Amino acid sequence: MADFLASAGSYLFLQNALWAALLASVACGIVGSLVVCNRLTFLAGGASHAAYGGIGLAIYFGWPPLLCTLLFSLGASLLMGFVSLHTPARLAGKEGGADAAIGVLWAAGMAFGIILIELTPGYTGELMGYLFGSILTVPRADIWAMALFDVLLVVVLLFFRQGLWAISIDKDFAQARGLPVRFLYLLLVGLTALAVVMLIRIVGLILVLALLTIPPAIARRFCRSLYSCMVVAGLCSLLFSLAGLVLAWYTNISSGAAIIAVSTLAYGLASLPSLQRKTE
Amino acid sequence: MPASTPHAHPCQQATLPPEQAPVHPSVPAVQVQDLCYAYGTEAVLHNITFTVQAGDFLAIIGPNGGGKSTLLRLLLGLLTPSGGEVRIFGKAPAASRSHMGFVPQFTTLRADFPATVLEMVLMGGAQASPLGGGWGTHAKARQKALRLLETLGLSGLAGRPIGSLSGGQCQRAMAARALMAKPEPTQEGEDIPFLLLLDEPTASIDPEGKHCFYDFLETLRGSCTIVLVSHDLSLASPYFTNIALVNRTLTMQPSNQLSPAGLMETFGTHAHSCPIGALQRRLEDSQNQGAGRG
Repeated sequence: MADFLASAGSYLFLQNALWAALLASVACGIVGSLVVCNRLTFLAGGASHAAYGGIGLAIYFGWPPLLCTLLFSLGASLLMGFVSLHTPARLAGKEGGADAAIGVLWAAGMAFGIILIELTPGYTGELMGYLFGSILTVPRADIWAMALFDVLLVVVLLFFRQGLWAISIDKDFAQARGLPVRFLYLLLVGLTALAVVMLIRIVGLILVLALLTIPPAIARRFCRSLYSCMVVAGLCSLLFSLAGLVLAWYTNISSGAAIIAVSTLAYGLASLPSLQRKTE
Repeated sequence: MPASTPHAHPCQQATLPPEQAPVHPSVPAVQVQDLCYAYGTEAVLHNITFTVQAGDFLAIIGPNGGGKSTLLRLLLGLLTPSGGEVRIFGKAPAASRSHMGFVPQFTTLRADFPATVLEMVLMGGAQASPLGGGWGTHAKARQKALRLLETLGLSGLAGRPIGSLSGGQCQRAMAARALMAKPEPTQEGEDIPFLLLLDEPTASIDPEGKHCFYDFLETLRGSCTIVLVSHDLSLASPYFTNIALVNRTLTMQPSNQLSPAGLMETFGTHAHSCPIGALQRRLEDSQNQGAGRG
């Protein structure tokens, strides 16, 4: 451990990794809690995999990867959200319902990205980093982008906290009170897409779903309010990211997979019946 | 929460008088004229016309899929009619939200959401705004919420997670939430008109709990107009001032009791699979219950 701490003081890339873990944890705590409470996990999975289309576009045209991925994922997510909103509840689980549309966009975005990357002449880049994350290679520019997003996230939460809270607990009632439920829902979906793109840098698009759902799922077992759930989920996310980073450092395994392994272990421990009884 | 964009429907145009403002106690609480609604090409409600006077307690009863909840959503202004018109206290539903409370079906509430009962009840004071709406959490609002919870027998549960409530307790908490929107009486002590709409409020409550819930609604009769929808045939009771049967069309019953003819007309499609004798026995049972309580 001392070796890791000494290296963190010396190496810029490790400092960047620690900053990335901290900043991603803020997004994970806030957005992850809303995703879990709104049962948007499938939609978040669709957003993360569709983001691969943005990566493909960025590589093919030589555009900035973060911005391109962010815009593509945002567009795909809003489309999924729009379909969800316009699918009657009685059709939601049936053929042609929102689930099917999300599944189609999920696969289509990924396929689009793969095709574009394969068509890119002479591209030999490292794709594993996008699929499984590479927190140790996050550049300083991305750290600033993540910080900016966190600020935006907190500001949006402060402005819309009651609206987002209302649609999370009871959409029907919120709509009956005249709250702009559709706007708030699409806002939440948009925030989810942005958070997904941020977290892709840490754990990759394959594993992003786990980091977005495991910490809030653990937090929800012990918290009685949405806001405390956000704080605890954020702290859990930071803890898991740091533990995974240390594990990857000493065992030379993929940092994204190590972070998810730690998170899954913690989820298993939190699900133990003895802990369940204590919190009831 | 799908947005419903109804297709054009060949219904008659409404002939209600122009909107009246502000709300006056003499204005009917609900005026529905030639109301039609269709999901796509599937007509759900056809030529519905009825009026609910301020202070009335109307029960709308009908089979599942008969259009009851759609009618309630039209009254709330959440759906746009294919034809006809709805007025709440003389205004369009969207303009009357400050005079309406809504108790949705029990299943719409995410019981696993991390929130306390008090937080959930406070949400009832939500007002629409461009920033997404909000509600007061100040001392006055909390006092009102705690008072409502006490009235509904939930005073000790304010700090409990909503997921820990039983079905009946949750339903009462949802009623308290709806009543948070009810304006306080004027300085002269006069009640400001308020319409409480309930969607299958006793679906998750045992028979004894149902009567407790209706006893509570009874206490609101002087200060509220109540419209309740249910598929429960045993609802014929002295609690209601009027009963309407809905299955695509609406038939007002001549009294607050269900009639066999009305039942056959409304539940006719069910009668094929449910012997008429059984329907009549349920009717008699419900009327006996009503007589026993009256």
